[in-house]
Amino acid sequence: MIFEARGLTKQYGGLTAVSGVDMELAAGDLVGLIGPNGAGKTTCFNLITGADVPTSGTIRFKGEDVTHARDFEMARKGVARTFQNIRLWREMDVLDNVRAVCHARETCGFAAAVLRLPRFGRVERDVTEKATALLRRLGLGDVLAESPGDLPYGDQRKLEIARALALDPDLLLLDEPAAGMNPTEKAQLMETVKDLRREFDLTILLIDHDMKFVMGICERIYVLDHGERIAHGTPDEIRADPKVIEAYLGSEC
Amino acid sequence: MSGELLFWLNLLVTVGIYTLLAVSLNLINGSAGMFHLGHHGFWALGAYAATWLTINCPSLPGPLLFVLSLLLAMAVAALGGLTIGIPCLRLRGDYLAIATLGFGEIVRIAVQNSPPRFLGGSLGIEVPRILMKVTPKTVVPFRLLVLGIVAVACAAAIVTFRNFLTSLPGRRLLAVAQDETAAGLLGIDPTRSKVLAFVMGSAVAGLAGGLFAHYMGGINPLNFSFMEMVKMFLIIVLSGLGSLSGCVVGAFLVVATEQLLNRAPEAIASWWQVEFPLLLALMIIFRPQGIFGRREIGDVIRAWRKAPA
Amino acid sequence: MLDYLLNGLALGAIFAFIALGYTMVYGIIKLINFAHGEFFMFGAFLGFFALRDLGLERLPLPQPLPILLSYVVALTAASIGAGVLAVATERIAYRPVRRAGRIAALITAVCVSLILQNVAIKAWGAKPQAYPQPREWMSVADVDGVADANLYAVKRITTTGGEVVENEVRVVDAGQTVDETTRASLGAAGYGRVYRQWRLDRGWTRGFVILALALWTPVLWFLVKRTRMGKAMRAVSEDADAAQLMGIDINRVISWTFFLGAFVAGVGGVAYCVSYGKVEPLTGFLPGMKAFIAAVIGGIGSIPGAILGGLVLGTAESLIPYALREGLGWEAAFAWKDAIAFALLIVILVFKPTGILGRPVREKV
Repeated sequence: MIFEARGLTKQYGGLTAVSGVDMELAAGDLVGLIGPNGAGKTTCFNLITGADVPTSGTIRFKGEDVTHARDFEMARKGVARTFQNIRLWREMDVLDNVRAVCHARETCGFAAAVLRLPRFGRVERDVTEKATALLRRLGLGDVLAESPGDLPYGDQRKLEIARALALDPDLLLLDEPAAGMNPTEKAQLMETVKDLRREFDLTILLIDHDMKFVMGICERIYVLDHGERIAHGTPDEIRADPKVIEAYLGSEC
Repeated sequence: MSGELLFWLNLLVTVGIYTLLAVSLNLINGSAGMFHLGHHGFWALGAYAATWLTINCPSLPGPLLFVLSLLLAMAVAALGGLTIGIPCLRLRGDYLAIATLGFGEIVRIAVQNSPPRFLGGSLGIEVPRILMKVTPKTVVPFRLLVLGIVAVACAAAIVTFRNFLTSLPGRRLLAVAQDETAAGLLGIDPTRSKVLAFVMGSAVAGLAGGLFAHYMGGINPLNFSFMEMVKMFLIIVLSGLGSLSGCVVGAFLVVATEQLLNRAPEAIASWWQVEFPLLLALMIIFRPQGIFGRREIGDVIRAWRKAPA
Repeated sequence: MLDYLLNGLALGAIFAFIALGYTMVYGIIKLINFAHGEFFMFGAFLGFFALRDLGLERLPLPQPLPILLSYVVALTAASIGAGVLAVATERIAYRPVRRAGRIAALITAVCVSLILQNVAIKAWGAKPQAYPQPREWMSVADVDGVADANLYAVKRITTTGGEVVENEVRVVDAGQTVDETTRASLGAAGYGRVYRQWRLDRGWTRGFVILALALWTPVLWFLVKRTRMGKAMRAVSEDADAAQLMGIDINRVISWTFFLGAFVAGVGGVAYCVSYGKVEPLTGFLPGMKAFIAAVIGGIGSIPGAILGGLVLGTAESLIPYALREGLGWEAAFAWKDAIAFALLIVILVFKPTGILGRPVREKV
C-alpha cells in the first residue's frame, strides 16, 4: 500500500464536507473518485495534498504518517496534482512553467545563481533538458516559448500534467483532467494517462464527471456522496450498485 | 556654469539613489508580487546604521570605514527585512500593505524619539565626511566620486536581481507571485521564496540609505517620510512593475521632474505635492503597466530593432 | 489611573467613530479607504468654520442655548459635509477603479488621501489653528456685581494695510466689581457685548464623547439591522453580484455607505479637535491610521468589531505608556505611544489577521 487514508473527516464550522472516508492505493493503481456535486471529492484532494488539515482521521503515504504535512512538504514527498480550474503561471512561458517545478527539492544555490558560477550552468542545463523532454512527451515540444494563455484548452491541461510530472511524483492526482475536451481528445487522454502510468511508475487517483472516461480507464472506483464513501469496486460493480444510482438520480431532482 | 554643473551632478546622484530604492522595491512588489509599503523604513535603517558606525569609529581609515558602514547598513536593513518578513509574509494583499506600512512608521517613530546623543532624534544627525573633505573647491570631485560609486551600486543591484530572477530560485519566486497556492502544491515553499526576496530588497534599500547618508552629510527623520515611499511607488509604477532596468528611466523622470519643478513658477511648483499623487493615481488607472511593463530596457531595444522600419 | 482609563475610553470612542467608516466601506467594497482620515479632517474644519465664523454663540438667547446651538450646528455641518465629500470622492476617484483590482484601488486611495491633505494645506495653511472653545456672550448692560471670571471683548481694528483684524481684549478681571461706571467706560470704548471663555473641562469632553458613542451605537445598530438600506448594505457586503441580481442598486448602496461612514467620522472630527484644542490639515493622518488599525484589531468588516477595536486601542494607548512609566520607571514612555498602535497591528495580523470579531476567510482551491 503506497497510500492509505482511514476515517478521513473534515468539518468547516457546522458543515461536514468529508466524513469517515477510507481509501487505499497500491503502487501502480489507477483509481477513480466520483460522486455528485458537493460530495467532497475536491476536499479529499485538498486533504491528501496537504492543502488542508483533516479534522480527524489519518493519512499514510509510503509508510509515513503525513496527516499534518503541509502542501509543499507533500509535494516534495512525491504527491503531485493538477487543478480543476487551470492554475498555470500565465506570465511565464510554457518551458518555465515546468522548469520552475523541476528540482523543487534542491536548488542550484543563491550564490551560484547570482554570480553565474559553473554549477548554475550545469543545473540549468539539466533542468532544461528534463523539462523539454517532459513537454515533448506530452506533445507540447513546439510551444515551449509560448504563453500558457495562448494555448488551446486541451494543451493547457496537458501542460498542467507535464508540470505535475516534473516533481517526479509517486502519486499523481488528476482533478477533472478531461473537462472541456471533445471525445477524440478524451480518447487520446485515456491512452496517454495509461502510458504515463507505465512510463513514470505512477499511482494515479483521478476525479472526473465524465462516467465513460472514468469507467473506461480506472481499475477501481470510490464513490462519495454527502461526504461519505457509499461504494467501492470495479467499474462493473459500481455501475450496478443501487446506492450509486440513487445518489446520482437523487441529486438530479 | 559651476552652479549648473553642481545642480546636474546632484540630480544624477539623487537619481542613482532612487534607482537603487526603486529596483529593490520593484523586486518585492513587482517580481514577488508582495504589496509592500514600508520600504522607507529599510532605507532609514540603512542610513542610520551607516551613520552610527561612521560616528563611532573615527579611528578607522576613511575608505575602509565607508565600505564597512555600507555593509553594516545592508546587514541591519536585511535583518529588519527578516524580522518583519517572517511573521508578516503569510499575509496577503491589503493586510500585508498595512503591516509593512506600520513597520515603516515604527522605524520613523523610533528614530524620532531616539536620544539625541544616540541617533539625533527629530533634529537629525550629522554624518562625518570620511571619503573626502567637502569644501567649495572639492564639491565637484566629491559628487563625481559619489556618482561613480552609486552608478556601480545600481549596475550591481540590477545584474544581481536579473541573474536571480532568471535562475531556479528566481523562477520559483515568480511562480509564487503569480499563483501561490499552485506553487505550494507543486513543492515550492512560498514563505521561503518571499522572505528571500524581501531580504534581498531590504538589503539594497539599506545600501541606498548608507550611500544617502554619506552623500548628504546629515540625515533626519523627515528624509524618510511616507511621502518618500509614495515617490518610490510612483517610480516603479511609472517604470513598470517587474522591470528592473526600467527603474533607471522612471527614477530619472520623477527626480528630474521634482527638482526642475522647484525652479518652475510658484504656481506649479507649490502644488507638486498634489501633482505627484495625482499622477500616480492616473497612471494606475490608465496605464498600470507603466512604460516598460515587465520587460527590461534590453528587451525593448531588441524588439524595436527587429520591428520593420 | 482612573483618569488615564477614562482618557483612554474617550480617545477610544473617537477612534471607534472613525473606525466605523473604515469598516463599513471595507465590508462593502473591500477597499481600505486611506482618505477616510481626510474626511474626518474636513469635517473638523467645517465645524471649525461654523464655530468661528457663524457667530451663533452670540445670539441673544438665554444661556446655554447659543453655545449648544453653535456646537450642534458645527457637528451637523461637519458630519454632513464630510459625508458629501465622501460621496463625491467615491464617485470621482473610486468608482472608476473598482474594476481595476484591489492594488490599484488601494493606491488610488492613498493618492486621494495625499491630494486632499495638500489641497487643505493650500486652502487653509499648514499651521495648526486653535479650535474655538465655547463662549458665553452677554450684553454689557447685563453685567453687574462681582465678576466671577475674566470677561473679554472683541475689538475690530484696521491695520495700516487696510485689513480688518479682530483683537480679543480682556476687559474685566475676575473678582472685579462691575458697576455703572465700568459699563459706561466699556460702552465708550465701543464694546456692546462681552463674553466669558469656557474652558471645556477634560471631564466634559470625555463624557460627551463616550455618551455620543453610547447613543450612536443603538442608532447604527437599528440602521443596519432594521432598515431596508441596512439590509441592502449587508447583502452587498456578502455577495455583490447576487445582490445586484436581486434588484439592489449597488451604486446607491455604496454611496450611502460612504456617506454614513464619513458622517460618523465628522462627528469624531469635531470631538477630537475640541478635546485637543486645535485643527490642521494633517489632523486626519495619524488618528486615521490608528482608527484603521482599530478596525483591523476588531475585525475589519464588522461594525461591533470597529467599536470594540476603537475602545481597545484607545485604552491601550493611554494605559500601556502609563503602566510602563509607573511600573518600569520609563519616563519617556508616552513619546512612543504612537508606536503602540502599529505594534498592536502587527501582533494581531500575525496571530489573528481577521481580528477579534472577524470571521476567517478560506480560499477555494
